[in-house]
Amino acid sequence: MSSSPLPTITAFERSPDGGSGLARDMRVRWALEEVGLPYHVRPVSFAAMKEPAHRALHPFGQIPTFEDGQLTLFESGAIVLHIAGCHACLLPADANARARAISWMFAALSTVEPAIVDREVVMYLERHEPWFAPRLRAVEHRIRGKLNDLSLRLGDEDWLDGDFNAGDLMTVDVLRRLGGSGLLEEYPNLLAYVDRAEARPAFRRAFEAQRAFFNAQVAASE
Amino acid sequence: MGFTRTAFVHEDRQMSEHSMITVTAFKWVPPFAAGQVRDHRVRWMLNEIGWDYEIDLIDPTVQASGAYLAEQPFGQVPVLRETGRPALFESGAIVLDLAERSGKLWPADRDAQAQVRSWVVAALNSVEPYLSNVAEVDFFTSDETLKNLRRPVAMAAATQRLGKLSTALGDRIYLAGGEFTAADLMLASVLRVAEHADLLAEYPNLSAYRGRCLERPAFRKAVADQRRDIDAHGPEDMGWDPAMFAGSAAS
Repeated sequence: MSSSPLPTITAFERSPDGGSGLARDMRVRWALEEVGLPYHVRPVSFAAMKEPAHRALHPFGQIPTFEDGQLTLFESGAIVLHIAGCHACLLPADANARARAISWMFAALSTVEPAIVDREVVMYLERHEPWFAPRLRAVEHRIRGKLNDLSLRLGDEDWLDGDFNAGDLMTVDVLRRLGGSGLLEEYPNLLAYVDRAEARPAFRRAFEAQRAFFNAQVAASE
Repeated sequence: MGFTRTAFVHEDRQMSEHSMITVTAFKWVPPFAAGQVRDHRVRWMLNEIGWDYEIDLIDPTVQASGAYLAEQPFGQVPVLRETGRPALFESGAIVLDLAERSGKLWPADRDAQAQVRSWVVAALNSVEPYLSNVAEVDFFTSDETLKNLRRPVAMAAATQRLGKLSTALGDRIYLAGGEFTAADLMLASVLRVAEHADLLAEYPNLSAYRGRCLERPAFRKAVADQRRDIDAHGPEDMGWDPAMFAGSAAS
């Protein structure tokens, strides 16, 4: 348990994304920046992630976790939902609109993200497997199906359902994981949607913070 | 500024007597999916609460219609329709919404509520995708050679994930606060994915946990009702050629 008065999140001690803001602490940092809440970041090494101390915070030994006083949370989606629920600006005040925004958060986490993570597994771990090509085709077909629906729904709007909210934050952070795949480029309105979100000052602050954190970790170990 | 304010407080916890609830489901699915379609989670939750609801059975024409896509951007089921509210989608969001508004399967303690939210998301984002991959290999990979090669990899990834889950659950009866909550409903439902592969066999505590959750009458009724709706229809009701499914008669 942290003795810090600030909420504490965990992040990779040495992120495999090289500071490009693709690890899942990014979406929590972004949410905290949107609501203007200062926070503390505790690095966790790959070895420490497997240890009981971290497992007590996160049953699957992942990052991020969130600690605030007696409260401990895991799962980036649940953490963003908690932050958004406690601060007005990430979820609409109207109860019905808020329920819709939470539907969009779950759509990002449960309907869109799994196929995108599958693609990462295929690309990084299965490149030399005999099923690589057909599996990649199948996964990209699934991803395109979701992107197509999302693109049709977004249309010419700036955000998915009225003003920017936690549903957009989660959707955009999930879509960012497609960077470099070329898939997002097939849907110009989704590409513009991600750009629009990344231009938000809170996103920029969160992105710079995670990059500075990564660079400091590298410098400290050299 | 701390996280001390009660989130998600609703003034009007009581449903109006005349508020109508409708849940969407499919007219028919192939036998391997019968009883598994995600509307069972919402039926289960509503049965636990004791709120009346109707089922709107849909087909691919409805799924692709503008009116349905306005409610569910990905054309999936379930959608929750309620008088005076916008349509909600995603089983995780709907179950949490119903839990918070009814106060059922929802702990009173704020930290326990936060744990329930964590576990609902974890079930959907950190457990289900691994089990879905096993189901995907078994039911949607047509090339037998590739299927046999890839299956052990998908099984190993799922088993490893379940091992961590087993450790996390330990000897607890339920996930959060000692009582059956929305988190258990969601995780137990997720643990049914790829049930045919018997992945839980090496984790007795997970098997017992799933069994404990699934013996609830509200779950049994949810799945029986879904199966009854499916049994009353056939592939032709979805606009599909019955010959495509001739080899997979319901068991």
